[in-house]
Order: sequence, then C-alpha cells, then structure tokens
Amino acid sequence: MSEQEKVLAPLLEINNLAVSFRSGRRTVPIIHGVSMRVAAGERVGVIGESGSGKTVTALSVLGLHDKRRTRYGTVSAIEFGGTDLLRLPPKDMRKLRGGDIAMVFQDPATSLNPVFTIAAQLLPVLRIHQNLSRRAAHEAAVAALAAVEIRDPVRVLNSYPHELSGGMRQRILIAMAVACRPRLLIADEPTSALDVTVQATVLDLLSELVTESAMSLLLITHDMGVIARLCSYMYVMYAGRVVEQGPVKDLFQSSWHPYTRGLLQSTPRMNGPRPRRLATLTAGQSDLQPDVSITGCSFASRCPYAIERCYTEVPVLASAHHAASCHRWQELVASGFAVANSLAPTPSAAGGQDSD
Amino acid sequence: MRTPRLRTGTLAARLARTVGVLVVISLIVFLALRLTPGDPAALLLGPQAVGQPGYKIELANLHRQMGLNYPLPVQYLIWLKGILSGNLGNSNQNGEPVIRLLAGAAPPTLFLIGLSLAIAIPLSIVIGTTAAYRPSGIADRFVRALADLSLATPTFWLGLLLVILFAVRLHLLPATGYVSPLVSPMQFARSMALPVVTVVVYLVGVLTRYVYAEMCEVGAQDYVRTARAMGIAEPTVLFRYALRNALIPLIAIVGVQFAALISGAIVVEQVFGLGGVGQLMLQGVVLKDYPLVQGGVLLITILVTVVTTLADLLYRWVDPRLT
Ligand SMILES: Nc1ncnc2c1ncn2[C@@H]1O[C@H](COP(=O)(O)OP(=O)(O)OP(=O)(O)O)[C@@H](O)[C@H]1O
Ligand code: SF4
Ligand SMILES: [Mg+2]
Repeated sequence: MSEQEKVLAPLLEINNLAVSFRSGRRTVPIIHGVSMRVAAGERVGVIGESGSGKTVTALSVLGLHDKRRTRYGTVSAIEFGGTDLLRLPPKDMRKLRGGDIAMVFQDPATSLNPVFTIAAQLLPVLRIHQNLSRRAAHEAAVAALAAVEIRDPVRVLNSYPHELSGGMRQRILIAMAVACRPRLLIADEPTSALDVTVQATVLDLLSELVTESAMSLLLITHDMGVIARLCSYMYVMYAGRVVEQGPVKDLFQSSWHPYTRGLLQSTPRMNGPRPRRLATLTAGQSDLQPDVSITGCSFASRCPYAIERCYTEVPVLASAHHAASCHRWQELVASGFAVANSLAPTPSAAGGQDSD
Repeated sequence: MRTPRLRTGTLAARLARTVGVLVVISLIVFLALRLTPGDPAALLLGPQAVGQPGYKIELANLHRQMGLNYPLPVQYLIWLKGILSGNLGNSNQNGEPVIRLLAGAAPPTLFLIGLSLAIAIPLSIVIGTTAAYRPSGIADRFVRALADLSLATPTFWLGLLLVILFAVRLHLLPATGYVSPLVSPMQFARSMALPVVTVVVYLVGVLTRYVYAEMCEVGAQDYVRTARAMGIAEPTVLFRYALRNALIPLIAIVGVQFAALISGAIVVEQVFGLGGVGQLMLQGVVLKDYPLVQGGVLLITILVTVVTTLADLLYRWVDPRLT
C-alpha cells in the first residue's frame, strides 16, 4: 500500500464506470463498474481479450461514444485533472481532445481518412491546439513526422494514406496524437495490426516519446509482452470488469486471479521475443457478452477453480494496490494454483475445460 | 493540397468508349424510327390526301425529297456523313435546319436541368448531412417527410399544383412560356422559377436520401472518429472530412440521375410550355420527323455522355485511390 505510485496525484481517475449501449429498445450493459487511475507521468497497461471492454472504456474517457445510444452509470465519474469528463460540455471536451488527452487507435489502415493527404489531416490538428499559422503548422508537422522517425516528412505530408505502409500510417497517427504534447496518451493496441517486425520499433518509439515529453500513458493491449516492456502498473479486464490490478512486476511474479494466471501461462517469458495472443486461453469459448442473468463471477464458466459460491456471489475487487476479484485467490495463491483437482470442480467448469 | 492527377490513358480510353456508345445509339435510334409503323411522307400529306388523284406520285416525290427512296444502310451513311460535316438535315415539317431548331430549344432545357442541379445538389448535401448528424431532429424529420412526399408525387402533378397556386390564384408568376435571359433577366427568372422548383423538389427528395445514408455510414468510420479524437470541431468533421467520402458514391448517382432527369425534364417542359428539346422531340415523334428526332436524340446522347464522363472524372478526382 505504501508504494510510490499511490503518493502521486492521479491525473486520470476512472471511478466505477458503467457503460451500456441502447440498440432498439434494449439496453446492453458492456462495462460494469470499472475503476482505474493513472498518475502524472505513469505508464499503465490494460490487458484483456477481445470484447472485454478495453476500447469502450478508453472511448468513454474522450467522450467518443455516440451520445444518443450510450448510457453511463449514475455514480460513474471520469476525473481528469479535477474535471469530470462525463459531465463536461461538448465544447470543453473538444478542447481536451487532441490537446490534453490524445488517442492512438487500433487499426492504422482505417484510422486515416483515405481521401485527404496526411498534411490535410495533420495540419488542422496543430492549428487548432497551438494557434499556428499555416506556415508554422507546416513546419511543426514536418517536425512531428521527423520525431516519429519518418525519413522523408515533406513527401509523406503530400501522400495519401493508401500510398503508405501500415507501420508508416501508425507512426503518423502517433505523430498526430503526440504533436500537441498531451498530458495523457491513450494507445489502443497501437501495434496489433502491424507486422511483428514493425511492432517492436513502433513500441520503442512510443516509449521514447512518452518519456521525452513526460506524458502519462494508458496502453491497451492483448499482449502481456507489450505491457512488460512499457508499463509499470496494469489492469486486467474480463467481460467488462477489472478482475486484477497491480504493479506489473508483482503480477508477473505472482498473479492472483485465475484469468490472469491463464494469460501469463500463454506468455512464455516476461521479455519473451514473440508473445502470443490471448485467444488460446480456453479454446472455442467466447461468452464475453456479459450475461445479466449471471449472478456470480463472470469468469466462472471458464474457471477451473470455480466452486458453488462463484455462481451465486459476485466477487468484488478491493481497492488495494494489488488486488484480484476472486473468492478464492488467497487459498489459490497459497497452494500455488494446484488445488483444482482436490476441490471438486462444478460440472459446468469441467465441461468448459473439456469441450472442443 | 495535392491535386490527384488523371492518367492520360484513362482519358483516352474513356473517349474511345464514348464514341463507341454514340455510334451504337445512333444506329438504334435510326432503326427504331424506321422499323416502327408509319410513313412520314404520308403523315405530312395527311389522311385526307389518301386516294386523291396524283397521291402516289406526290408520295414518291416526297420520299425522294426526304431521301427515303434509298436502302436503309445508304440512308444511314448519308446521315452520318451529314453529321460529320455538321449538317443534321432539315425538318420534314417545315424544312428548317434541324440544327437551328435544336439550338433554339436547347437553352430552356439546359437552364432547367442546370439550375435544378445547381440548387438541388448543395441543398441535398446540407439537409442530408444535418439530418445524419441529428437523427430524429428537425432536419431528419423534414428529410423523411420531403423524401416521401417527393417520391409519392408525380412531377407533372406538382408542376400543375404550383401553376394553379402561383400563377392562377396569386398571379405572382407566369404559368407558361420561356423568356431568354438575354431578353430580360428578370422575366427569365420568373419564367424558370416554377419549373425549377418542380424539378428541385423531385431531385432533393432523391438525393437527400443518398446523402443521408452515405453520411450515416461514413460517420461511423474509424477515420471520422480519429478526427473527433483530435479535437476537430463537429461541423468540420462532417462537412469536410466525412462529406468528401460520402461524395464519392453521390457523384455516381448524380451521373446516373442525369439521364433520368432529361426524360423528367420533357414532362416538366410540357407542363410549363417552355419549348425545350423535349417538347420539340415529342412533336417530332408524333409526326415521324426523322431528321429532327435523330438530331434530338444525338444531342441528348452527347449531353448524357459528357455528363457521365465528367462524373467519372470527378469521381476519380475526389477519390485519390482510383488515380
Ligand atoms: N458501439 C457499440 N455498440 C454496441 N456494442 C458495442 C459497441 N462498441 C463495443 N460494443 C461491445 O462492447 C464489448 C466490448 O467491446 P470493446 O471494443 O471495448 O472490446 P475490446 O476489449 O476493445 O476488444 P478488442 O481487443 O477486440 O479491441 C463487445 O462485446 C462489443 O461488441
Ligand atoms: S471467483 Fe470463482 S470462478 Fe471466479 S475466478 Fe475466482 S475461483 Fe474462479
Ligand atoms: Mg478494442
């Protein structure tokens, strides 16, 4: 509890975020009370498999959800430097976007406008947030591209996205995001759409830029290796909830939640050369749509350690520095996760393991 | 900003195709006119002349005069030769050169179509985009109502309604007739107002739907989200970044719509008595005035081809991925 991260004043504080989307007459809850904090200058990772709600959480911070379809929980709050982003007027929110908080998106192939040159997309961003003249903005754009190690910035500025490689496009998106020196950079799987060879260089670049301008980083990924490389603190998400949180080192040494445990087992070594994707955790399962009829732990149907209590009672996440939302984490950790067979698993848990 | 360049190869290929299309269409029109029943010479002489003494001889003379005594392929070649030397022949009805007749009838038609498009396209873009931005807002409801109304309303009926209201009841505008802008700009505006409104209502009804649908789709794209995430103001996001993408399919639609617009213009011209190309040709078809109809169809075909080609070039210009 007395770690230094706790001492730093939080820059971003997501409190009890609940998000649901309306589709037709139904309202589908997606995020069920997620809390996260990022201190000034801190690098925080968020990991979780596809559909666990990482992007939805990130987009909530920037208010980028379609307002007409999105409902936030009444007690939810997202504080950034003291202002509640969820209740910020659109005009003020717009000033924060790209200026104080910037975001790099998942897919560089679709995140740049195909019918505008890079200059036409980058220059306005610089001009809006820094009040630059056209010429000054052009110079700033050249500098921004040079900063992400693009060799021929002037030519690239005059190019259309389809004339550039995926790695280049992601560098441009990163340049766009960091050009105005945001206080917080949210990177949503910045490398998952890139070639493995390009991934490492883009990650290193991101890391350098964050260090240079003392930004806070909220890094979303599928990949334990990426977190190990860049982050000091991490959140593990599963089905719209944080199931474990803690310093990266602690989690790698001893994770407490069975789900995190599974993630780490599918990652060979902490700094392994080629971390695998997580989808292989339990083959053939994708019950990620949070089912409201489930009253217990949302991981129960896939958990090899589930007991009856797991189906009736929702485990809560303590607000401790390292915490896991599991009824059994203490005994599991104490026994080194070797207790599965000694405690009779419920039939459905066994079924979940054996099927397919 | 960089302007995408068009490859000359693309242009040449398009031109070649255009000429091919023109030849095929001229053949079709030529044959269609001649293979349908009815003798233009007989029509000109009138039914009362049938059986009169000397009728046969008069008919044969007329045939020779009109060049109808030659076999069909020769007739076609003669016509083609005329076109190449800029001569579309003379009207059967009064012997006037077809070129002069068409030149006189073209301005009202071109003004009707041109003005309608010039008003309807920006209007549809603004209404459609605003509606897409705020579904179930005022603009959205307006779009739905307008689109339903204009699709359910025959153009000639709306035209008649406008004539009754503004010309017959309120005496604000002339009911029929066309005044050249060279004669009186004011009278020109007054004579075009009702026909243009009629066509604009129809066009806006059609085009707004497309703009709306396209903008909804483009609005959900990642790159639009990127623009928003960078703090770009919403109007700029929509009318600059999103719109250009939505325009790409829209250009193709306007290109296609243009052909339909000309046939629609024939009806509207008729209602408002503008004396345009449509009206001229309608008359020509009734009297089987071969040179006039052939010339008119040629003019329209050229017009449609030019517009389609322009649409295609514009399309490539807007979408850099195609050049
Ligand atoms: N706009 C939306 N409307 C309705 N449902 C949505 C919307 N966006 C996301 N969802 C749903 O929310 C859940 C979480 O999605 P999210 O994109 O946050 O997952 P993720 O963790 O980012 O996954 P990935 O790793 O694949 O990016 C998914 O089940 C998804 O179907
Ligand atoms: S609460 Fe139960 S089901 Fe959930 S992770 Fe812990 S042991 Fe598994
Ligand atoms: Mg995502």
